[in-house]
Amino acid sequence: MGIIRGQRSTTRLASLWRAYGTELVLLGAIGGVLILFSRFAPGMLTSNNLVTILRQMSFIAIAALGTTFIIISGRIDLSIGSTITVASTTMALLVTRHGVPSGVALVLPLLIGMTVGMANGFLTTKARVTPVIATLGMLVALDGAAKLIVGGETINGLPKVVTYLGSSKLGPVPVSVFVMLLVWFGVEFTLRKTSFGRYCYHIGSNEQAALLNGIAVDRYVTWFFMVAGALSGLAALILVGRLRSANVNIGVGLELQAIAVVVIGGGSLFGGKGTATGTVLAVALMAVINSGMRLSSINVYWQTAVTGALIVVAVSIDAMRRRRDRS
Amino acid sequence: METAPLLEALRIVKNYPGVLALDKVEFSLERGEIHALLGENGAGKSTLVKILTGAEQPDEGEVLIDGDVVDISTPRKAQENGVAVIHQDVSLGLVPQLSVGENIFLGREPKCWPARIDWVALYSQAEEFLQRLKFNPEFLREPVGSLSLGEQQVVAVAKALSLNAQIFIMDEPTASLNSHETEVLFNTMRALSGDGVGIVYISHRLEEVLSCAHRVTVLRDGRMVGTVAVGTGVGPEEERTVAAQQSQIVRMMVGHDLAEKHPRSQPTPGPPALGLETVSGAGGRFSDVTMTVHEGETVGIYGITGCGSRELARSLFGLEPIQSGEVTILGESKSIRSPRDAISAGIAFISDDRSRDGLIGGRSVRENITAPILKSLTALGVIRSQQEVAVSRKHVSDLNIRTPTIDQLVRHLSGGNQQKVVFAKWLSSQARVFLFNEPTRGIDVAAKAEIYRLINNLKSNGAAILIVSSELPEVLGVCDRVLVMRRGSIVMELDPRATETTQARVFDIASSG
Amino acid sequence: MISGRSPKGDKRANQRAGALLQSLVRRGQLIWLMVAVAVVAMSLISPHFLTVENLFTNVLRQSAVIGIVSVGMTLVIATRGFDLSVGSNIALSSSIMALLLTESGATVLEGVLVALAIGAAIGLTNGVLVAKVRVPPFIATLGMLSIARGFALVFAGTTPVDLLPQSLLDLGRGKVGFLPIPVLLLAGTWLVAAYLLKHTRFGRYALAIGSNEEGARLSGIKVDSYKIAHYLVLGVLAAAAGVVLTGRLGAAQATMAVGLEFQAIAAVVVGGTSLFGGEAKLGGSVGGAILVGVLRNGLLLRSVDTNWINIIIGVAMVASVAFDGLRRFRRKGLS
Repeated sequence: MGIIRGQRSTTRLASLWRAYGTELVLLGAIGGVLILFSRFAPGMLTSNNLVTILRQMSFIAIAALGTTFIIISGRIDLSIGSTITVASTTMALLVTRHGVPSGVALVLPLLIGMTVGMANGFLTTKARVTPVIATLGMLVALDGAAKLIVGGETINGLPKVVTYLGSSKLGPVPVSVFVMLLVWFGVEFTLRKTSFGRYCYHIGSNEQAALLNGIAVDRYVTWFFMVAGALSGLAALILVGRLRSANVNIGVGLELQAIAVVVIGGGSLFGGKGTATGTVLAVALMAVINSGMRLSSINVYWQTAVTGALIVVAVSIDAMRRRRDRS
Repeated sequence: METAPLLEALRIVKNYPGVLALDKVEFSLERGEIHALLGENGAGKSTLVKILTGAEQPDEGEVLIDGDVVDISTPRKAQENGVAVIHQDVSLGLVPQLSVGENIFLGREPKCWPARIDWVALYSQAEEFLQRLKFNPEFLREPVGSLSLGEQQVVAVAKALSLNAQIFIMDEPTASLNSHETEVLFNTMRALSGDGVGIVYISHRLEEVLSCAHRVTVLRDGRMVGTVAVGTGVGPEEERTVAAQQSQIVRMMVGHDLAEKHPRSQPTPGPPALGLETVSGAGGRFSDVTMTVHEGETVGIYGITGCGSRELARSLFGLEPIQSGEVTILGESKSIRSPRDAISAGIAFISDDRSRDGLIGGRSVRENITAPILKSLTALGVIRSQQEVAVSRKHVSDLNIRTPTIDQLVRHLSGGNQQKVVFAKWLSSQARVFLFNEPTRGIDVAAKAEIYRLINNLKSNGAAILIVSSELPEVLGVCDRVLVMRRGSIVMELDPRATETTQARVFDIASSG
Repeated sequence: MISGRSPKGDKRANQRAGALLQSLVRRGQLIWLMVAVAVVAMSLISPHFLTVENLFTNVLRQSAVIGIVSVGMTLVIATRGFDLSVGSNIALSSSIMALLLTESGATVLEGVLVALAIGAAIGLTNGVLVAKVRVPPFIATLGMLSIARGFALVFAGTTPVDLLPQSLLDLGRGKVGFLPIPVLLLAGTWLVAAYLLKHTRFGRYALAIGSNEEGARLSGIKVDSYKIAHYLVLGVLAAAAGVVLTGRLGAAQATMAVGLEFQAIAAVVVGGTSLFGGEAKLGGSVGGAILVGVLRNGLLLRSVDTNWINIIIGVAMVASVAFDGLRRFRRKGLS
């Protein structure tokens, strides 16, 4: 006779809610914001604008999808922005001034990102530096490195092959949106259906237990950082493509947005929670809000404040939810 | 003229779901008395302590202090009524970076002006308290973190004293102390009792208890078995009395529990599955352990707290380092330095702390069951869902795990069912050697029987089982062979079926020396 | 006192140097040695470094600003906390102050009070988020970094607000005797903080909370209230540092002080205070701030990119934290 203590209801509806609740709320919020702004902002709901929103979303969504792994595993990565900066400026410089072939240049940002990820992974696992400090240090180091590489210059004249991903279209839809969809699908699939993804959740939920189940935690965490780095590189490629140039201001402040978006999308900073879809929907929500604010001529600096406020709210909800679960 | 006892607990009843933890327990403490509370694990000692310190409420019964019924429904109120508790883990209440004096008065520092702390007053008063405890006040200004555990204990005692505690409850305080520190602690306790303070001393260690207590109360299975006054005189007459008291107490503690409650199936021992050859752990917790467990047999290791058996089990699973010696699994010598090594060698580990040691509460039953073998259920990294579901369902039904679906979060299951999920996990990993560390701690009676049945099943399927347990009836009832461990070494092997292997004798072997 | 540099009485100088070095290391005040080394290095690199004018006008003034923040940051770090919002705090409080002074005709006193109030509000919010809502400190303050910076940009845009009243400029540029005012303010802050840490509950409890928060709570300390107070004080100190900085620069800008939090944290960490809480080495933090100031100034004079310094600071910070972590775990053993 097993006594079931405090059993939550497991009706179909309830388990659906637990699995998809955040995503549904976000969808609703997106719809709501769209409708709200359509009253005040001219041209909000035009297909042109929606395509623009999608295109602007794509690069941060890709970076955030990488961050999703890190946050699910219970860590944090504050160096995403600077990784993008270094990846884009290095690649741009090498392609335009040092005759590196475009084919190689396409792969370069991803390689740079992966290297940064590997360094982050090493610092947090073998050197036992807490992820906050390790990636914060990396942020500064990379930022400085980028400034050393290009100074205040903006590098232009990038070959079409390199800018393809960011600025071309396939029919009415920008290529970058396709890339985003691909990455979204890839990450979602990995998280749900592969052992790599499953281990990510396990490590984030209860690292000690994961160890006891024979999971090589250190190795996987390093992989997570490398994936996040690689995806940052990809995002850099797209961004450079769209701007058709690269400079040191490119990735500024991105890490906060990426973290915000993962958390708003259902991720928990304590680890063990988060989904690819939630992340992407959260990016969409922010993009829609930004678009709406811009079109209704609201001071664009409110965005920064709003992002910060949103992340604080999301994390507060997460903290309170966690306390409730524990007690 | 009769004065009321300092502390009295009358007809205390406490129920937890499925378990009657305390059954009309009565307990009294006089001023200046050191009253020991003895009992095996699960006897109800910690529950009684929780009630006396305000951490839990009794379902029936009342607590009187100095003859008056008191409300000790919260730890704060217990403190206000003069009850202080010194935990086993003394670092709970002390701040390592601040000095001894500061720790004693933490939160209640004497002040000069509105803002400035009066250091002179603080340290002189702290010195007084330490002197009352006959403790050297030279450490007064040292950070507490730099003191040894024993010294930290004394600081915790001084702090409680400064809170005007009249009743000290000391919960296994000597668990992590060496003999010298223990002596220091006993001197402190004697000083306290000389001052009129009453001490409730909870311990496993009979010999320690006998050396400092005035009375001993024994709990067993939630009932108070009896109270014995302990003499502390010298001379042959007294010695015989002490010896007699000791056996009386032991009898009270272990009782005549029915071995039928823990059915043991016939062993069918095959080749050796787990072999240890002079294995010693780093840190000296256990040394020179040599033993063998065959396929199809259950070997139990019994010992009291601190004997090293727990560390031995953990080391065999790679959780703690092995310093020397050889470990053989299924005939092959293996180096086990991490749980991964152990799992790939075919070892499973089931501990007393489910949530910490391998069960991921926030994930589903199915994910937990397949956690160690996930790789084998994947093709190119992709999990084969159907296979996973099949494996999980099979184990859930085989082990009769009560859960609405295999996707139910493990933390919503009852304790017994959670333990079964742990079993299922290891069964799915096809381990051949099972290490159990206190497998039925904190589990209700009905689920215990099921777990023993599962253990027997494992055995009949040819698994080699090593059970580390401090529950004597369990060890004697379930195991085919019993090894007694004391202070890091295996001191004797016993046959639980032999008539001279009584619980009293085993307990004796485990605790004396 | 660097052996090899003193020409006379070599042996005795070496001995004294050795003894001094040992006592510095023992007392965990290696930072001053590092400052000395940095000063020497910078003066070798740039001939203009070691002039009185440079030292007092640039190095010390800039270090003082970072130093004031570092002192407050030491307190928060002692409680095992963290505050990434101080830079944005400065931007917001100083921008609002500057706007009030130039556009609303407020007096300097009123302006400074408003700045301090804004700093307090930011600190209060941080404290409440960390203590009551239990948001991890770096996220709470990271969010606040964004919020405060955002508000600063909203209210002040990106253009500098200058033409500030002279008395404000004096705060940043003036002197008393030969000591620059910012240095005096730093010294005063240091003294007050040291007193608080040694002799008041406010300070002692900060250490207690960082050392064993649960134990402090069990002893009846109102942990939440104290934590909020600590963040509040840091907020006010940051705003004060901002006022001094604005005075010195002659203008306030919503984009000012970007990354200052990082310099302050680095100063604290390199100065020897552990991020794990429970200790507060104020002298080290001040030394660290001076070190940062020295490095920046020296390299700037040489037209070296400040970003190299950022890299060095980043590396030093990570190394200090790693070193500190190892020190802790080695002492505790495997627990």
